[in-house]
Amino acid sequence: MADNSVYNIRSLSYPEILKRNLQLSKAVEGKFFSVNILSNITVNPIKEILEYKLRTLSLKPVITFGNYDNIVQESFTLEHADLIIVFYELINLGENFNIAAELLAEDELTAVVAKCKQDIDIIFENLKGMPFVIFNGFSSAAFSTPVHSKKNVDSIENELNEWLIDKKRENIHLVDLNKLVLSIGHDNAFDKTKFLKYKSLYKIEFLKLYVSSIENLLLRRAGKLKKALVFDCDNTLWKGVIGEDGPSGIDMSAKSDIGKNFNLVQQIAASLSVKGILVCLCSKNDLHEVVDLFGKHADMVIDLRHIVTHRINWKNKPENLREIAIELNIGLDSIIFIDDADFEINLIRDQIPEILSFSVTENLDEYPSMILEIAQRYFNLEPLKEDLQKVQIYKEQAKRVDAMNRISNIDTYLSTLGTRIIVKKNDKEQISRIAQLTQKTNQFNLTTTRYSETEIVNLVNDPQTCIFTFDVSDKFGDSGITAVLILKESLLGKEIVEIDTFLLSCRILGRKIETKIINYIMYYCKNKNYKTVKATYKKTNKNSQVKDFYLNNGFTVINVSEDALYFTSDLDNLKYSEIEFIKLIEE
Amino acid sequence: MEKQEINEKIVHVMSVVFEVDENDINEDSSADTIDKWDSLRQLNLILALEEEFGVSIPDEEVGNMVNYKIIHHVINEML
Repeated sequence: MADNSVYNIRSLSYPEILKRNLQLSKAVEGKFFSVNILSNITVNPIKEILEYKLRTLSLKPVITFGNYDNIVQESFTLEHADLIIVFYELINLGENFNIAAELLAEDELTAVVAKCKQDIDIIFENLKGMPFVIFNGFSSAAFSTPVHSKKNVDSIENELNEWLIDKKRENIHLVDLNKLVLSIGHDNAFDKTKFLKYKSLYKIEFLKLYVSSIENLLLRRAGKLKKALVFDCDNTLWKGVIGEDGPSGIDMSAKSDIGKNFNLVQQIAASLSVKGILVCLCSKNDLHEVVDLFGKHADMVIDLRHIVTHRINWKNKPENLREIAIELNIGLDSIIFIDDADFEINLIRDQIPEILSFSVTENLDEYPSMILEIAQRYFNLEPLKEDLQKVQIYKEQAKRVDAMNRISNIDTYLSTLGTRIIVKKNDKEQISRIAQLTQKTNQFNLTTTRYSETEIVNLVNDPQTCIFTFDVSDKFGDSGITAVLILKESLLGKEIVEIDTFLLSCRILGRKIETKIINYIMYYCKNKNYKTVKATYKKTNKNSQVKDFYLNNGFTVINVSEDALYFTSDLDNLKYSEIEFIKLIEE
Repeated sequence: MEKQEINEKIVHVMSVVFEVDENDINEDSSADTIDKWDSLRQLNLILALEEEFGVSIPDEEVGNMVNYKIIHHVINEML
């Protein structure tokens, strides 16, 4: 059975994590990612564990710790960090608080709670400009007193957690420590001796669990959430082999002992598809045998509506998975693959390590919960409206590719699409969508600057900045806001503007939309009496396809550095051939 | 556990905690000879040794374990 724990940091010993972290630190690739940890206990051993996790996500972490027990003070002077983590532990609210808390008189208790609430307010206010804050919920779990005597601590915990939920802003993400403690047990989580001696409350076991539990938040922050979940069919979506057992011999019945697990997995897959996750099939089978099951077999939960694309054939799976990535216009590292055969899992892990491959669990009763955990760990399950349309949109993409194969001249094909772009400037209703696009877009992204919602709000309100959003639709459907361009007046002079950000969601690429947009922007700048537009291409691992974009669109290179190209364009001599088959409307 | 194996494991743990080559760790290695050996790494060292050997190092020993010989002695006593 292929080992599914290979991607989980909890399966590694602490010395092993230290060793691997050291090895990865010597591989220089990746983007700097600053983390600041504020804490009223000692959590320094988390540093290497978190570093290792971030390095496996191709980031170069720089982790700093605020001064011990200075959360509020530090929050006033904190410099910008990509991620802030706050450990605000009840057990260290005061000296010997594990005992002292229960000795508080009622008015003293009220005063402690009021003080903490005030601190929380100050911290949240001070951190409001920070793009992403992970704030741990309050937990009384470390107070190991008999069950019914924790009266005071329990009420502090409850009141403060309600306060957190009530006061939390959009950049604050709460983590429920109680659930983590519950899952590994009090004695595995806390180290009483080291707490009394060094204020080091948590055992390594717990810190590994903690880092593992915030993985979804880290992926979200780093713009590395997965997009597609690809299933094999036989013994993965049902028990049995359709080609041998036939439709009546396979089992995915909610009423059978074995089949119910496959039924549940199908239910999860269907619900993920509805949430915008790209569910696909990749199976060695005869296409018609599998397709015939959909909508016909009484026990099938998923049907063809839930499947974005499939490769059901006898080709090898690495090839099929690469094709799926190309068709959906997503990176290989956006894919998760599920199969029951060790051979296939090991083949994919060997050939395409970017794809995370999981084996169907030997104990089938554990299979549905494994799929659910994968979903919660790696995917965005709180999608915005646009994501909900995504399954539909990708299907339309597939239709477009199909049409493209039939018409030989690309412009002829594009002109049949009837593409329409609606431009809006500084649209306050789209703030979360704009931030999301800057977070998630990797391929067509000239500078790959990630913005939080707070930062976008500031830019929208800045008179020297203009954020353009582009809503793209064609006869196959409405893609929604799928392109963003941020224009800033330059500090170099009044007649100069700079393109701070230009990105297109990958699902509208290859349709000359980017050219239409840049033409529009250049004429917009000219009409505003600017003389020069400056632009930058910043190299990342994923955006090489746009390296020559500005060069191909009338800009000249003025400077070259190791990881960036700097361009300029003189607005007096604009020469563009109008793309007539795309209609652009200003609102 | 063989004596040789214990030695190797201690050297390995010290090497990953203090980020030095295993060959640079010997009987005379101590907080004075290893640059990165400070109080925070001391905690990492204890946690790593505890996990590697499956032991719980007593509080009163933690502060003493500031050179290879003492670490070796304490771990051997506990196994």
